[in-house]
Amino acid sequence: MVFSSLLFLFWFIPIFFIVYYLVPGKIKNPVLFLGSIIFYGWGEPKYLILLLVSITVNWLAGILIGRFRGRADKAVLICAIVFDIGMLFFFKYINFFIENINAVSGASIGKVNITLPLGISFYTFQIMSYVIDLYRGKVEVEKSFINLGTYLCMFPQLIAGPIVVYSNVSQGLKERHIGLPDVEEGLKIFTLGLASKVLIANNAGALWKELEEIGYANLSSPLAWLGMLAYTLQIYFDFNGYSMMAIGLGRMLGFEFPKNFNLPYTSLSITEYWRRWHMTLSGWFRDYLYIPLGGNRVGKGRMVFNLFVVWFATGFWHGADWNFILWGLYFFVLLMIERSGFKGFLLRHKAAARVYSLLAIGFGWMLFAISDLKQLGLYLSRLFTGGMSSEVLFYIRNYGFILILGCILSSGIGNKIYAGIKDKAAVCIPLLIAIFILCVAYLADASFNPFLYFRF
Amino acid sequence: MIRQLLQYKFTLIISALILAICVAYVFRSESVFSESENRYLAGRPGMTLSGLADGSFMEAFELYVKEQLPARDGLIRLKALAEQAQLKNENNGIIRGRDGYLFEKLIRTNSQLDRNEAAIVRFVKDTDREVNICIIPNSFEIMTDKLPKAFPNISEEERISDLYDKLSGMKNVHTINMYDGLKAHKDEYIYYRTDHHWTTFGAYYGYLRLCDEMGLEPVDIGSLESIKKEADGFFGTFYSKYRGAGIKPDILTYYDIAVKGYRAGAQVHDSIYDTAKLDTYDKYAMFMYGNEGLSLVDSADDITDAAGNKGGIYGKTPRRKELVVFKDSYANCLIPYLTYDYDRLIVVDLRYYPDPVSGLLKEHPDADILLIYNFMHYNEDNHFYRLTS
Repeated sequence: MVFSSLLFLFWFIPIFFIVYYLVPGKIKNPVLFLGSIIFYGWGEPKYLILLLVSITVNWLAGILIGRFRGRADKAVLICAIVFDIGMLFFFKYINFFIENINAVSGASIGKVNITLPLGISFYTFQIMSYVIDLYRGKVEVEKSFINLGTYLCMFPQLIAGPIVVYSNVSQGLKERHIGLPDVEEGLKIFTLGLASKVLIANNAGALWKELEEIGYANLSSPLAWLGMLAYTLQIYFDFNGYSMMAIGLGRMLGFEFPKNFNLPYTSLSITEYWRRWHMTLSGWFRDYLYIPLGGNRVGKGRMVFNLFVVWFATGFWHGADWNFILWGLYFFVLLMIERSGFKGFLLRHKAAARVYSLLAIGFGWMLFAISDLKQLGLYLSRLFTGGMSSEVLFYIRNYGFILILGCILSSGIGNKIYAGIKDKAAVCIPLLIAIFILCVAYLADASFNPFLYFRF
Repeated sequence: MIRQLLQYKFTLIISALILAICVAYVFRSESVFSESENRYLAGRPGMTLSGLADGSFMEAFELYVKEQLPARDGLIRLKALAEQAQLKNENNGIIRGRDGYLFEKLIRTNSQLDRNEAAIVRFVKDTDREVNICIIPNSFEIMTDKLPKAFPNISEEERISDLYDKLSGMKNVHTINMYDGLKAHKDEYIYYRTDHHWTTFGAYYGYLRLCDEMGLEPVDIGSLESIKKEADGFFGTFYSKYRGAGIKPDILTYYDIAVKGYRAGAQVHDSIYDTAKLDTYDKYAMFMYGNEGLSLVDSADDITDAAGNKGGIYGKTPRRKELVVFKDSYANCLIPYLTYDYDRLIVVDLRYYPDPVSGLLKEHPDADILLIYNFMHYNEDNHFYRLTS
């Protein structure tokens, strides 16, 4: 099930929350666990088993780490990590490796007939944070299967993040207070997230989809640039919208989830961009990969290697395809350039820094969006050699408003306006209600409402 | 408690809204048929174990939730207006032109088109009888003065020429180009503004082209003036998708041409017009009683004039005997004119005609053959293979 659907809004939300609020505190976790299972199983019944196996294995590993503390805890941790990464590898990457082995060696190993289990990249990282932090002594053993299951399956963040590490919510899992102010605030954040996804991302994304239909070979230069802008806005408003909906729902459940995006497109360098984009993912890679590798407290050569590994993994995490690896390494290269002195230049020239950052981000998204490398080359060449064509005017007319609105909102002006009216109920509440109804109207007539994270 | 609740107005209002819609889903009687979309809406599916296991129940339930959304029609209209407020001239693949004209968007051809082209070529190759072929361009190709600036569509004319070129080497085929004949009248009301069909007038100009190419003598439209009928308030298929403000309805015109008998599928009628349809949303379905797999039109009797010369019902040259027409709904308002030129019309809609075409043609060994389709149908429909199966 996805948040931006009528099914979620008008069936799941009312039924689940009524039950959740009515049952006494002790039963809230089982209700949340069960509700999340239904939420996940609705679209992926067969992969529920995988999710439950993952919980069971890591729950047992946790208990064993506690029991064999100081003796065999490292061995248990390694087993758990091998299991988690192994599952991820098998279900997400096996066909990629088979394909490439076949291509290189000329072998013809048969592909495995599996579809990617929804959200596996997110929940694998989340559950690993539990066993690793437990080993490090940062968190305590979770003896309750229900509590650990509730943590991992919690429907707001299960399929598209944010990546909530166990230590974020371990306290809340045991005891939490849900007050009306939390519900009110959570519902508002949810509504804004819904609007971000349904009103902006879907409508900007429709242009990107049209360009695919027209065929990259037929694009004029201005249309190709417009498409790049459209995709850049779509992915931000889609992903940030999902995160906001998750954070809002979490709040309504009594949890405080970490912020995931902090106006990434206002960055003045790529270094800064990755501190603002998908913050929970970069945080995860920092804490559970970069620092264990030695971080930057090592020799220069080793540090470069560490960064290379992190960015390779970041790219590969986003999808089992070469273009995602390329996308990760592209940022590795840019970050290295920035580290070796370019950052100083950027600090002194703000306007240039802004243009550079946005272009670098935009090109990055083209690497991300187009998996076929030939098509990618074609698209990039159309940006510069596509020539003019008057039909771009049609697309400017039909997407101009939404693209301009997207640019304005991603610049942070929207946040400022919202902060200004937030406490003026007479303005804020009617506006949010109108936005909510408009979202329902767009969902009622949705011809284009994609779920972008099925490859993650 | 209540006073405390009232402080959280947003929660209160949104919860009430969500609950009201949820309750409405459960207790409201389901609307079964959507007039404006001219189709049956999905109802609530029954839950079965196998449906749960293979996910078909979930799929059906999501469709039900979407189609039976309370106030769905109003919300769809609201979305259309919101699109318009952004200065868009497109909604759901329908582009608004000048003077309230709506057009469908076509930015690439369907992969089906190549298969359809091949099927038609094969059909002509496989038969030794003469075949007349006509692909009718859609409104945006002809009504060029009504298009908005920077209209993004591809050209249908090129793809129609491709087909005609492929057929040009064959002796038994006769391709009929409609462009000039229609373009000469592009200032007239030859296509509906809100529907994907051509009007009865557009069909008449198409008919003139057919007569020209097939050597028939056309009936004079002026002579039909006395039997002209009109129905207003017609909102067609383009409008059901577009739904924006400021679109005027079309007027549907028909000439009440009499026939001796009309058999549409298993039904027998004494007229080719289903006038009851004029009171419904889908008014265009009045022509020929909609689309049937096989229908037979027996033209009205010939007239013998005072001098004893037998002729068509308006005293023209004697009619030809039979014409087999393979067609889509565009032809439904053109076929009445052809009753002046043929004693009998055998009308086939391949979408609903699963029997072998070769058998049908054998039953009518002397009949003329006409394939007439509008471009969109030629581009999308996947029943052309039935021509040769």
